[in-house]
Amino acid sequence: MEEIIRRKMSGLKKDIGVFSDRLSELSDTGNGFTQGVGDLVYREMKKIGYNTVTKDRAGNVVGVVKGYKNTSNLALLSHHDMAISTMSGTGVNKFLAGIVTSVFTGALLKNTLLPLEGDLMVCCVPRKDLCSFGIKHLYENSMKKANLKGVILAEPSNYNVYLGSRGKMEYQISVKGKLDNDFLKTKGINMLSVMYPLIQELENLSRTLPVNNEFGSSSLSIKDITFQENDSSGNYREFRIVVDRCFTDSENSNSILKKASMIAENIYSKQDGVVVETSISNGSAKSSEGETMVSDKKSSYWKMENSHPFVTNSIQVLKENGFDPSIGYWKQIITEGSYTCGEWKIPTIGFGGGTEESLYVKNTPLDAESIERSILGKSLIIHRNAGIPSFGWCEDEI
Amino acid sequence: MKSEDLNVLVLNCGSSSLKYKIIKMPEEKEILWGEAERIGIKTAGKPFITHVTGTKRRVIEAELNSLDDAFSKALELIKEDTGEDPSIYFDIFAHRYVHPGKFFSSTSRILGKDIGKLRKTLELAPIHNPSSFSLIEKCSTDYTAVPQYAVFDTTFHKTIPEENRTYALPVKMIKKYDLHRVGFHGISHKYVMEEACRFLGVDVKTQKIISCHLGTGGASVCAIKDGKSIFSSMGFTPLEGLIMNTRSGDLDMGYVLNLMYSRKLSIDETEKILNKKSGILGVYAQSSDLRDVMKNLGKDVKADIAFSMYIKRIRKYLGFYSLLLKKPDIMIFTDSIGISSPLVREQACANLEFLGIRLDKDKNWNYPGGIIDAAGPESECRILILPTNEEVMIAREAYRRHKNDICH
Amino acid sequence: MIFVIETGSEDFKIFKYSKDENVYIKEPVRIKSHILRDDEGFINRINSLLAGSEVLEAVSFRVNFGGDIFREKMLPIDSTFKLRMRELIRNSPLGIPPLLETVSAFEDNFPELPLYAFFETSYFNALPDEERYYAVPMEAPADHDVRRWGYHGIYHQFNSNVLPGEKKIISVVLDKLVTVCSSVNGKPFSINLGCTPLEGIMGRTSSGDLDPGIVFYLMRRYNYSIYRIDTLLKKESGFLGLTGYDLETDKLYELAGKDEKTAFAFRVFENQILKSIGEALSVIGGIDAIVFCGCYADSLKPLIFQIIKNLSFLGISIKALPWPDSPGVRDVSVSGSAVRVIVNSLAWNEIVYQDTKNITPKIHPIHPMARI
Repeated sequence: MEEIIRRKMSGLKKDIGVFSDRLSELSDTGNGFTQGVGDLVYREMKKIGYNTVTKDRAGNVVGVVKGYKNTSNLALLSHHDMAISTMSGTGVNKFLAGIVTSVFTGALLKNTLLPLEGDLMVCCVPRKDLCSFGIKHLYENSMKKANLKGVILAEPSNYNVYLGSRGKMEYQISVKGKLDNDFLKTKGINMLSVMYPLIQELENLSRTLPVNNEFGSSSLSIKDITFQENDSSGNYREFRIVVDRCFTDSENSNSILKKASMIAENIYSKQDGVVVETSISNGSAKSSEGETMVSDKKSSYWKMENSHPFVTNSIQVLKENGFDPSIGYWKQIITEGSYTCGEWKIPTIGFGGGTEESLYVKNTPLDAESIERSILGKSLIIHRNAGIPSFGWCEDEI
Repeated sequence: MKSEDLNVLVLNCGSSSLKYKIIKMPEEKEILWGEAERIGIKTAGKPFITHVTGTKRRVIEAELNSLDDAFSKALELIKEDTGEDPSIYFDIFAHRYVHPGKFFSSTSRILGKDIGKLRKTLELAPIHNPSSFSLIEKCSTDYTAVPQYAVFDTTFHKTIPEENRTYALPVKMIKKYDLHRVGFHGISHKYVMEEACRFLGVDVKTQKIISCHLGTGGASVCAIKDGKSIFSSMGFTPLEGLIMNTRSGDLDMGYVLNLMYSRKLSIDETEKILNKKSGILGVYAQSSDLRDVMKNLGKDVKADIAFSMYIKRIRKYLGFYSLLLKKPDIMIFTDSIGISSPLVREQACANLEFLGIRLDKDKNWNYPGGIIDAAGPESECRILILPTNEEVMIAREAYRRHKNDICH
Repeated sequence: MIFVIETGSEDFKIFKYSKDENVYIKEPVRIKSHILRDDEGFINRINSLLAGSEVLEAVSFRVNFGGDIFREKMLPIDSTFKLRMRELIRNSPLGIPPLLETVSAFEDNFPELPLYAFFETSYFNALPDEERYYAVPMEAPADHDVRRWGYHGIYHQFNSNVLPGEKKIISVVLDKLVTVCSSVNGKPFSINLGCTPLEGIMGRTSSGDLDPGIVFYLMRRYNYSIYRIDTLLKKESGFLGLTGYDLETDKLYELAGKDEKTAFAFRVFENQILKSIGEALSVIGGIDAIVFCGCYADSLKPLIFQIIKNLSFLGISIKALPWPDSPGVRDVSVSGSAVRVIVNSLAWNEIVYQDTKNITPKIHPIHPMARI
């Protein structure tokens, strides 16, 4: 089986090259870019001959390679950023490999004619910061009823099998004082002195966060501090601290928010007329289809068990075919796994070429050899987990 | 008592049984025999030993938690007998040891330095070797004054030519793990070969023989030429070859891999199915005993198929070995089913006249016991019904070896 | 013109038969499978195979697996064919998808063209029950799907009718796989290849008959998965495993005269053939004729000669080599021989062509340009 997969790869090289070039040429940012990527992927999947190709309201493009039964459906997810994240601040090439490899993994499997037990959904998901616009819409409208046996994330793992990532969230602490109250009346350095206790508590907290063996330490960083003479209601002066938090298994978004709330209230609520509010930030975006979407800025921590058959099968097939995969975890980037595994409990692994770190290097070119190797690995993983095996027979025996 | 007389205590153990016999060599006279059963089994019924000397037969319940216990008890009983009758004694131990791997290629005296070698062979026959090994080890520590010999089930098949024992696998693996047809029941096949030629008054070195050891448990067919084994139906393990009570015998590995995939079975589970749940039991389902199958022929479709498959598989080996030997001179049926079932013999030999095999109906169906030639008058091939006696063969081998050792 | 087609995942092979053509040995035209996805390209390519005013009358496909669903040797392909074949995908996951793709291409682009399917397994549906099953527990309903399916039914069925009357015939196909079938009066009684080629005679890279105990031993020693051991047994064993040479059987045979490893491998091979022949003989209780065919029947003539010589004690006498190279079915036994020895150099595609010719309607030959 594996030789058939390898052989058919050579027939796709040219198309992979052309598609990669076209994708790289899309250098715009923002919604125009998202539109461009979605359209390009849609057209390419149609050209390849995926059994069905759809684009939904949130801009997810889904191509399906149909299987013979419905017993082992898998999804292969790649993503593209709807806007360049300030955290990364790099060129657009960083995520294109994932798109190219997932689109052509489907193509390769189709060309081999190797029958699959279930359907393969290849999805290109729009993402913005921590917002889950794309993936949540995809889940509600397609993934939920697809009865998925597993999800493969087309994200960089240096050809290892990655089984989790940290959770991340952004929250805001808003401290308001009534206009007829002295609280926050003075601006300038004195305003800071009012804020200072909270900032210091948060700084202290950031130094005492738990450390996890696989994921490293959790983190807290103050992202933004603002002051308003008049809040939206017109009755309060307000200062606001926006915090970025990364966390692993011992915390979750609720517990973090509660703690932040507690810290702020401890400091300020004894004062008359002061209101303290903590909440998860939210973001909005307009999809390529013109739909306005709103989402909380949070994604869950997730971690798959090493011993899960989806993991062990995948590692086994890679080892048997010239890869040397270890189990690993993403320490920096956030992936759709936070939702597929963290929230919806679908077995999820990540596989791809390149490293997380390389994503932060500007304009890393798309390396053909690495793309092919990544396609090969993904195809092997999919076939081992959902392909109909052929024991005893080779195709050339006849 | 002549100087060449020797009393051999033959020990033949299974996972929960121990058979022992004192055989006086060279007359091959049975002095005493015994069997300990249910060793280490805690369910219904206690362990017990049946101990028979001459006309005296005793059945004794005892706490037999291990083979060591059973062995000690047996020796205790023998000692009591010696006390009453001094002619009951033994000079040497002779153990049946199934598979010695590459460490021993013939019946051998086991000295202290050999224990380590034997220890490395335990996994080669995981049901039988460990039991035999524990007795050998006990003898070497507790009974150092008594010479002990090991007689191997595989030795007779050492003469199988290379092209007959090679599997078409990568050569590197074959060499690394010594993967080749080993063959079993060698003691029995050799015994019946010698007895057949003695019975027919022919020189063993000139005969082409097919020996069918058909037991209620294991079964195998052996092709013998010029006194040497040249093929065996069992292979690297006893799993290959004939259909047995719970073993599948030959089958398609592609089927096995499909089974492991679709039922998500481990190696151990699959091996257990092929060794313990297949064969007659696999097809007939209600029993693993061929005799139960034969009772229901014509009444139960499963019994009919099970019996047909069993017979056909034997016939396939008869056909193959007949071609290999270019028509056999002698065919031998032995062990429990080979001796007790005229139907099996009849069906196995049916329509094989073109290979010179013609069974006499009368002689086959009226077998009186002992050794007989049941071939028809026009049969080119002698067809012997010949009870096996592994204990005598073990004693013979140990005796020959011992004499050899003394002379050198 | 009639096409006889063998499909595969890389390409499909077309054996072209012009009307009343009498050529026996044919080289097929190989066409890469990707053309099946391009309707116009496909039509043009097919047309390019027809010279002048020739019309395509019918296309016959070799189908490697028909299971219990397809019980006839040959079937006109109708609208239910693909659906029924899909039920069998588990048994032949490598063979069926390329077949369906090729059949679809012809159905879609030449809708009026008669298409036929010839099955390699249906001859063996008539095997007696005790030959079809293994001595393994048959608990779950799906287990009954596990049985000896056999292979080379096209050859064996043809060979089983090569002598008139109620004859006991042993048919040996010397091809990439070697199969041995016994038949009486045209009805099959045994076949040595079981579910998969891992039972039977060793092949270029497949192990053939093995002690199952060895496989478990290796899986434990090397910590192999079922997939890895499967690859070992079907792609790294056989002649390749024993000699290290990855060559076709006929090329290896040429080497056997000079290379000891290869000569030894052929001795092992001969043993396995002898085992299969011995089994076949015992099942039918005698022999009237033994027939050799397959793509290596000609190049392995000395091997055939040797095998028969070893069976001479059965009263078989054959003519000395070299045997005449005439095409078709020829008797190479000497006239007093108790057993006829026949070498059949008809390839499977010949047999399929002859059968197709006999059934193809002559009334509406289709011009390939017509497409509705």
